[in-house]
Amino acid sequence: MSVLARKLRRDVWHAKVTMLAIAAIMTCGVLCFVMMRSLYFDLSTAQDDYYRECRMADFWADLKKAPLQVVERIASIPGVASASGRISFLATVDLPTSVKPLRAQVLSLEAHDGTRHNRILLRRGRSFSADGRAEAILNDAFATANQIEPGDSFSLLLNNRRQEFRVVGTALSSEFVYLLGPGSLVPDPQHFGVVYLQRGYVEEIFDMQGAANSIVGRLTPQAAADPDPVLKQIERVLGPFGGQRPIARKNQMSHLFLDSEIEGLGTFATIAPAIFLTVAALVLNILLSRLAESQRTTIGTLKALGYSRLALFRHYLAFGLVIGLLSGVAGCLLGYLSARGMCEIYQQFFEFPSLHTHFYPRIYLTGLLISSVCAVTGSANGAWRALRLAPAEAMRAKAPPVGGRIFLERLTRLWRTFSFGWKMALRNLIRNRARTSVGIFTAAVGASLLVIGFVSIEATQFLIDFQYRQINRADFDLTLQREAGWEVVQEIGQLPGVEHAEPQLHVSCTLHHRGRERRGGITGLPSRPSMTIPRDATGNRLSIPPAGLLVTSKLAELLDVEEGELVEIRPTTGRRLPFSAPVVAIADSYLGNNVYADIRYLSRQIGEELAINAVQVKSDGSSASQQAFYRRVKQLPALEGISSRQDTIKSLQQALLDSQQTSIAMLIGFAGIIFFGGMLNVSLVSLTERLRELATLRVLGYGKWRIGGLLLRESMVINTLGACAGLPLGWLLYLAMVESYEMDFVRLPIVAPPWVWWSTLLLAATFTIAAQGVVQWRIHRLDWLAGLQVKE
Amino acid sequence: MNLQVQHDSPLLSLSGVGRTYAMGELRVEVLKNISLDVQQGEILVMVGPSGSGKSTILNLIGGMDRPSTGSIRYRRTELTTASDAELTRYRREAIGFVFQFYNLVPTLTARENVMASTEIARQPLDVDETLGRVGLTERADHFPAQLSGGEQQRVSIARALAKNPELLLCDEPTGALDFETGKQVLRLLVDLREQIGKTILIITHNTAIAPLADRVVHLRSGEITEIVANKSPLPPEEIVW
Repeated sequence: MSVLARKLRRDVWHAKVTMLAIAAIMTCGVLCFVMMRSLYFDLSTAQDDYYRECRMADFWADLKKAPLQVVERIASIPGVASASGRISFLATVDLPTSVKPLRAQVLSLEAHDGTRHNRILLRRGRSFSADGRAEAILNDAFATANQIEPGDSFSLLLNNRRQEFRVVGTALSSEFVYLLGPGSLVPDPQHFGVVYLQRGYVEEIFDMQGAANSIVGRLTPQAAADPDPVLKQIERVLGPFGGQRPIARKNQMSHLFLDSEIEGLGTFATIAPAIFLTVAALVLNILLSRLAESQRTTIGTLKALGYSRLALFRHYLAFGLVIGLLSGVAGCLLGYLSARGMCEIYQQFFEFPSLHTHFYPRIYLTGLLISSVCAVTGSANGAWRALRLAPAEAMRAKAPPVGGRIFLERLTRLWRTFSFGWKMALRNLIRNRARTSVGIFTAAVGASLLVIGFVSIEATQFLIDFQYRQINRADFDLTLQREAGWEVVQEIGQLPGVEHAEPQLHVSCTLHHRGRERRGGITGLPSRPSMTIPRDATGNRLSIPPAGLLVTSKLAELLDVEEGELVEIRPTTGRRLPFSAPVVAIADSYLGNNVYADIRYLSRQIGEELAINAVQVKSDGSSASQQAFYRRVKQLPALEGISSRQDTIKSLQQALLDSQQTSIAMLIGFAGIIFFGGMLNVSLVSLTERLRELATLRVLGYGKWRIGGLLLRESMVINTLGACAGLPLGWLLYLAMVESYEMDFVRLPIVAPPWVWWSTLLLAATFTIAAQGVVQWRIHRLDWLAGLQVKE
Repeated sequence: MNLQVQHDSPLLSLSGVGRTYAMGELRVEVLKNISLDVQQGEILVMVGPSGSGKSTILNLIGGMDRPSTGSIRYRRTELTTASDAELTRYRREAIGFVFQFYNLVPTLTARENVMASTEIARQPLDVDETLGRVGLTERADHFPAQLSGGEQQRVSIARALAKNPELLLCDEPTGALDFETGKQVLRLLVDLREQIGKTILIITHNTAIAPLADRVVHLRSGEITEIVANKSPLPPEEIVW
């Protein structure tokens, strides 16, 4: 080992605390990069493999009923590679083990594995027998969540009939990677699943012999790249059969959520590491500049001995390289482990046949490379500053800094109010502008991470509260298989425990304005609703206009429509008579693109006097009456499905808040490392640089705690300024995040109660004090006499 | 750059050397018109009070700084116009520095400090032999902080010597040492000249050291005031200060 290598090894060991702090920040960066990049590839690969294996469709078209010959017509459209028809219904599931009626999408499957698109992959049990009657295959997550095994029985309410089925197997399908029930935001396998039945049997039950109400298919690669023209042609063919505009794969719910997650990983795999590595490089620059400064004499001596500038430059760069490589290796290892952990979390949301993290040598090598480049970049300036000195100059101790007055001293009255300690701290901060700026920047980044984390928690809670406590206040939402009259509300109002029942009418439609088109639905509400209460952006209740629409803000933005303007509505169910309606007011919503109207007004628009296809229920909340309510609901022949607000809130909280806790814990951890590492370095560098000055104060009678107090003042000023700057920075980053994650039907609320700001400042102060603990420990162990003997 | 030994000319030749430093708008002339030849194998002592320009001459001769005017030649090589890389090579091959405050690398042991020289030299001496010559065999694996001032200075001399340079430049070699230790260090330097023929240039403000030199150069305010040849130099043991 060369002498310089030995020196490097010992210097590294000597500066281990500060280097470890920097390495920790850099490790976070590499960790994020490796984790997100690995997950990006894991999910993308799993998605590709799964789609290929299941022959995932490129389009989905729903219609009322069409003979299977129409499928052949669809298949012959240029751009359509293949198409197949199937039967799809929503139904109520009655499990012997569950008092609650559950919901499921019933899908027909071709016998003998003849399904051409969206095939299933069996997980447990077997496929249908030759007869296949009364046999069902369930999606695996639903079966698992409800502890159903092959061989178990359950009932389905199908077309006003209760049918008994035996589960023969459980399966997965690529079209339900992220399985959402109607109106849901997160999968809830406990309450919503998919039931596959053999086609012949479904045809019989639903009177759909030789017909289909759902067509799926593949497009040619060219058409898949721009599916809209082909989809319009399909729509034209399906129009006479009650067909709606087919959904392209990019808009299919499961695909949309999965793709948005993959895309997010791709984006944040660049942004997150860049933040950490920038902070690390800046702090490293401070450390290396100080190190090279403190080794001026050594540098001069080595130059005098004949070492070239390049050799010494390389020597000091190697310092950074050691940190870079150390962080790179640690980041790769931790990134791999985190990716494994995250894969398990993803499996709670995304149902894949197999999802596990792979070994990606290229990602690890890139991780090592970026940490090394970042470290070398951070070191270069510091190393170069000392090396550019002529050897004779380098061997002389640096001239003491020029003392001059700082600008604050001109404010004489203010300046006089500061104690000696504060004057020292302020002078030092202002004279070392570069170091102070890096400290402030570091604290700002740390604080912004905390703000993002805290605001995200608050936003999720606000979303749940706004949607399920402010807007939707019904305990149960019952949907009916077809439109009914007022008597159904009375019937449901008589069920056990029901305090109040309110009718609703959902009309699926497309909305058109200024050439823009959006698929959606209108909800008809009573003139004075008590269960669904549209609200404006400030949370105030909006009254239901006797004529016209309340449009939610996101939809209004997508349609470019304002209050007073007319929107053209084309219903996609029923008699499908188009009509125009004025927008009376803009409502606020974070979930779904809702449009509200008076139920009688809406009924008239679709040619009815009063049509009802959903009922909202307020229950007395007692457990006994709820059980009885569920038992009676299961007997309702017209019921399509029921959802409980409590269950929805619970599943949202579990899915969003619980998984958020992991990421918030990581964010707080990362912020802590940034604060701790940044502050520790700034303080320790300051301590080393001012050793003689502080040693002199010791001789004058200052205690070790008082000396520590001087440095703490500086840290607290830097921390406070940085954390305060981090508050708006975090807020802006959160807004950018909201923007990047915004989808047509879901957006994150922008809320920031005072606790977000106070908690951020408090945590920032805590991390700084923790870093000061290490500085104080160092102060207690310092050889003050050696400090006094510094040569000039 | 030719640094090979040639015995038909002075080892080092300074001609009309001046050095001016700019300090803001102020220009300080530290050296004025210095002309001096240093002969192979001699011990030359430069004495003068603080601020007389001793260290500046040493830095110029050592290739660590460049003169503002005049010329410095080592053998036949002009140092004034040499590139940075050539000066680095000159320092590496021709010069050995001994510093007042030893300037040892604190994170390297005594042996490693000496190796820091030998690793880059073209024809270095054996490290352990050199340490033995300065009487530090037993302390070779100690770090500078574990050595006395005299021992540290001996490491510094061993480090300068181990490169096997023509010229040893000693900046106040006894300045940080007590009387007895200082004399031991001077004995070591004299031995190096007598045993292996090194040329030694010592700068000091301590005029008591002057009697051991072959020639003594007196400096004051950046100028040579007198050069005195010493026909019978005293052994270090007889010097008192």
